Amino acid sequence: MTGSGAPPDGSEVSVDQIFSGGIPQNVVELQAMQRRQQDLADRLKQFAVAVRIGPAQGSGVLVSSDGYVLTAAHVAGQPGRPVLAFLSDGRAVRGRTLGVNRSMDAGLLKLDPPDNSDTTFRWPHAEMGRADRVKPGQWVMALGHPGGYDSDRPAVVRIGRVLAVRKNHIKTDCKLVGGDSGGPLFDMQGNVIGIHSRIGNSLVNNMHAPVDAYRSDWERLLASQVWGHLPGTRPFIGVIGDSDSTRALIVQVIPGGAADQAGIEVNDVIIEFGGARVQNFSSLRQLVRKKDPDDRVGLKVERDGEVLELAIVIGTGEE
Amino acid sequence: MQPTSHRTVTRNMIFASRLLTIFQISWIVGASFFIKSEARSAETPQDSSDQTSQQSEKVAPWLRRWAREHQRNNPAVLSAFRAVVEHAGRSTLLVYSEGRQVAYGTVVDTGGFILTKASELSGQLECQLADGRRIPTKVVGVHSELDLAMLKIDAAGAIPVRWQTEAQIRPGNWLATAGVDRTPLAIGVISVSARRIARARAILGIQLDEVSPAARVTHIYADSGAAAAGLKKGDVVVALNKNPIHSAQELINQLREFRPGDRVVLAIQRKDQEISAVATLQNAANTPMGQREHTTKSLGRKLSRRHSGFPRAFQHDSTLRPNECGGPVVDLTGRTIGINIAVADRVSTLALPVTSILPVLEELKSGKYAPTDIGSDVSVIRQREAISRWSRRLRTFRAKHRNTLSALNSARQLILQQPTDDAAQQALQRLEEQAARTQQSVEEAQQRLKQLEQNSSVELSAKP
Repeated sequence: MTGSGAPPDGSEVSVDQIFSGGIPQNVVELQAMQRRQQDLADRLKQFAVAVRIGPAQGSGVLVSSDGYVLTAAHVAGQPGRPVLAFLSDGRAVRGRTLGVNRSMDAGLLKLDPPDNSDTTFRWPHAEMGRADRVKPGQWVMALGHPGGYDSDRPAVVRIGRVLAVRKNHIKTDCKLVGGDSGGPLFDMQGNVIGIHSRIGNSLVNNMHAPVDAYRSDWERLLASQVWGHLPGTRPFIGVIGDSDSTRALIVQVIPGGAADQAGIEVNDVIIEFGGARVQNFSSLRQLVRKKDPDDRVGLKVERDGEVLELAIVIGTGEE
Repeated sequence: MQPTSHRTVTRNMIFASRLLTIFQISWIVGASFFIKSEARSAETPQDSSDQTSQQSEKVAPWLRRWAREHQRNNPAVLSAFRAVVEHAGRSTLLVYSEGRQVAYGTVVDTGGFILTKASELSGQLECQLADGRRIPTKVVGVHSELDLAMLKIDAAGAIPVRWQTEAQIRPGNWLATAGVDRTPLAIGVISVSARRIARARAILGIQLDEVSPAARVTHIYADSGAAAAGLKKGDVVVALNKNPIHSAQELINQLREFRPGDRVVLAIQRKDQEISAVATLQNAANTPMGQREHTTKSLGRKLSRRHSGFPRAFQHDSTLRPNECGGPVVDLTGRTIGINIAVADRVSTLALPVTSILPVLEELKSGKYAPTDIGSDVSVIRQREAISRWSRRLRTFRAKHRNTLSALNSARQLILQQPTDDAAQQALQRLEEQAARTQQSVEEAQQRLKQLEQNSSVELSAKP
């Protein structure tokens, strides 16, 4: 199979449909996806950089010809810090951090032109896409430097799908780990839609700051402003239980909360959560604690002597 | 199928104080690994590699589909790869060690030769065939650098994998790990082309006296290989796998030759006795300082005991568990481009490329790499146990023999004094027979011990 070239049967049309949230049906469609994936992996790696800022090791992505790099707020730390960035060809360049929006975990930095470059030097860079058009199920590609910069290894490629789109993050199943922070999440047209921010308990909890956060506050970031505080992720279902009961008896359900939306009612007794037996309210609390926001969990409740099967999407304590 | 809210909300008074209570009882930031590795039984590999929604089997199928609706590991996405793993799936087996499923195996020859991950193996091995039968399996070769073991089973009609010899290992390429079902065990893309994976440092988990000229232990880390082997503060390590150790530096230097997961035999000077201990070496990352790093890099995932030190491996983003290594990875042509060799961190699974496997295939089959590694690890332990067992027996037999001889002597003297007593004559005869038997036991035990000790030194000196 050739890696590039026009597909024989116009399958690029259908491949865009798949990448926008569809499911490949057969090997031909997988091959069409693969051609795009190869091309993007090959083309986009030059935009991904590894950064060292003080003791922090992270990633970033070039988004302008004059050297602006998107990264995470928790990588940049604060404005005015010296940056050492490693490019995909192994060259190291210097730079400086600019503004950080901590509530979105969005940070900006600017690279100096490489040594020996003249005034006409232009950085190769990725385009910033639109996070507000991102949909669950959409296919995405993550690049970054997990574990920090390794001169033997280019940016590491991962392919996954968008699982949830929230106000302050996009969640995907592109597995991330320390060092990836600040690296780019691309849509399958190669536009940056998010910046790697944080991970949760499970392998499908990988959060990215939406790229719109950078665009909408670009001037503040350029001006080296600092605002907000880093978001947390607390699993939360929004119920109050009777802790004196020997069973997980629900005495209160927060309107509009995860439990409410799942159809849990006052006086329900939760007997099973995610396949695990629930003895009492405190064991339910333990089980919730082990989930992440947006996890989808099945549960069994006893209501008026009947056992019902419900499904709940875990919420966060802050939203 | 998605349940909707059918609750008419009683929007009654929820005050700030109440909300505070709710917070206190309902949220807690948790970093726990409960749902990750334990939930899926090692005995029953399932059709998916997803690690979030593997709640117990009790969960209704629609719930499982719903839980994974948008994930890459959605059963519908995996189904698209069925044709891709169809052939390789027939060349994939489950490998059991002491009754526990520890790896997958890749059939490489119609004669029943199977490649698998060596460092997961120990003790009695079995392979499970497609029909569910588990049959005894022996190790015919181990390549410890590649961490590959060649297994051999007596089964007709084994179907070898088809190798992809023109593999283009390019980042972004789809690949699938064949399981024993129609659906692949996992899917993923190539994250990094084949490269050298540096070796992790192997440690015993001890601190050594920096002043003493000998390798004297001053501290043993909890949960270390040294702690498990029963080392104590003040012990002096005098030999490692029968190589004499004269200083702390010598011990450190010799340990550099090993990898995490290797088992070593230590000779220990403890007060005035010399004892022997078998210790499993650990990854240096598992020290208190390295622990945090390890936790961070593995978050949500259990890692292979040995996940570094490969001459060449390509990295992919499939979600596997440590006991799912050893099986074939195929590209979209359905041909095998490598064998999964390690779960290395949260984001990386490593596979040996065909170009590393093919050159050693024949030698592994031929027995050139006799299984000194795992074989000896296990047999060293067994032999040590046998030696100490037979030493105890020998002591008992000697004591019995001494008692019999002294009884025999007393009886002889009695007979000299009263030569005509028939009963005494019979007793004497019985004692003589008994003495002959105890003598025989002692000699047998001595011989057995001698054999064991000889084997043990041969085994150890054969270790590369």
